[in-house]
Amino acid sequence: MSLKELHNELIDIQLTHLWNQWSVLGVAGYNSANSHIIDPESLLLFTLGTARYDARLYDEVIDWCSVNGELLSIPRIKSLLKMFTVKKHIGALAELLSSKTRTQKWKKLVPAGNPESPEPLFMNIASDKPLPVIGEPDVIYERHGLSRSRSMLRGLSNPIPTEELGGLVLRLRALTGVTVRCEIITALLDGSEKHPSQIARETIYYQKTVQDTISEMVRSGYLHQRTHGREKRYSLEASFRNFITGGRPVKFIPWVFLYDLLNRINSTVLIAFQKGLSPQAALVLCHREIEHSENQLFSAGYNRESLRLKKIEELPKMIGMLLAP
Amino acid sequence: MQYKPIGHDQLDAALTLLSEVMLFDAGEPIHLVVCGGSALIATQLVLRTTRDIDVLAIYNGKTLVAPVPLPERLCRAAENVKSALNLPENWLNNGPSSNNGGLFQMGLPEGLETRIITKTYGSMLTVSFIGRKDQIFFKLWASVDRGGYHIDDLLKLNPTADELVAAAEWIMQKDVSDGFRTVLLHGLEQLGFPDVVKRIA
Repeated sequence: MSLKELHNELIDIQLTHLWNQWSVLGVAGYNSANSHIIDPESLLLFTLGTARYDARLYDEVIDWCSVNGELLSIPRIKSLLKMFTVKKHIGALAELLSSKTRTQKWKKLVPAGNPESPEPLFMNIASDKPLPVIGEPDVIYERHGLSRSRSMLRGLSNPIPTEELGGLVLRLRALTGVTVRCEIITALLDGSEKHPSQIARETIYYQKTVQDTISEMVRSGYLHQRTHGREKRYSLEASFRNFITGGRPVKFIPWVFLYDLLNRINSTVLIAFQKGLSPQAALVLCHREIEHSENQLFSAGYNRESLRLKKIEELPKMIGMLLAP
Repeated sequence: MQYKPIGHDQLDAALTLLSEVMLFDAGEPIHLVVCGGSALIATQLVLRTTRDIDVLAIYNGKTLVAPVPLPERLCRAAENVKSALNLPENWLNNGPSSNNGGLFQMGLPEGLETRIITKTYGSMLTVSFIGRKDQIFFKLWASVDRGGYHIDDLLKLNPTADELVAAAEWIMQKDVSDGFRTVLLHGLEQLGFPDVVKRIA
């Protein structure tokens, strides 16, 4: 298997995963039942980068944002943009949604300043060449440095399904507002006991924000505080957890770190191919990226053995395992 | 942890992989000058294995410079290759020239750069291995100073009396003390080179 073929296979696995995740959130597509809660902002940012190889998914997600976008957190998208290099995509999406919907919140993500000369948005995975822009180019995307045919918001996406566990963050936001409280609740829904700094790390919120909010939430009686030495750890009252989840088991997955790792691996394999490196060199470089994320993955329950590759051909299997824990 | 010793093939594999990792990371190519066991292996002067690659100097395109510190991206790539090939800690190091008392800093044998044997590993790494004469100079010094496998290496190089005399004179320029001279002469005697001792004395 050449490194290019490997890259294509990795992208294919990730696109299947993305279709699955988005269909849980209301995009028309296929999905299988699972017990993990989706992190909508990291899913959006990861999709905008990866779905350059799947224009239909990209546009379905844009359409979904036009229907459900008020449930997304703009401050969190801003924080995550430090990890995901999709500023141009978010700028275009924000301007598109600002012009087509009544909500003003997206304007905060529209950058000021002069755009660079546009680069093609969509790529053909087999040839690794840009998809041609047919018909009128999209002026909004062009303003943000991306060339594509005109995008159409059809508004056909469904509102978030209320029976799926995957969309729980969005459902909680619909109930209580777009606030860090929703992430704190979902981070503890699996019954675990966590320190605020761990929740902050997993959700990419400032530690002080989580610390202050969690101190207020304790007063509700639904959150328990226990002292371990000098550390305070928090957990959710079991009856409250059961009420939220309907008694179904829930698995917390640090999607941010997983998607960040996948982005780095995709890019590593592609650059290794472009530079004509050997499979062994690609293996060394992928291990380097995996080691970079090891601590976060260990704390999420992945074991060391599952993150070790003997040869680069094992990478798709490992990625598949990470995405379907 | 059991590490793999570095033989001729492992040396080529490790340095090629090192070059590839550096190519991925981008930056200017690097040209190392290497002494020690890995140079004996690469030049096939002595058939053995080693646990590390000793960087004596760096060639900057114009002249040799001290390898202090080793370029950060070289160290980073070496660390990645170490894990992949199960190589020992510090498998690539600047030990022989790491401080003011190092070989480079004390002054290299004259004309060393004309005797090197250069190999290219991919587009990012060139390695020049020191030649036989310079190995004899360094190995004689190490034999007197530290003994052990350095003696074995020196004897396997099968030095002539002229070469040992030249080496001894060079070493005595580096350490001018009477004590060291005594140890050197005694060492040569012990190694079975009484004629060399007479010529120096």
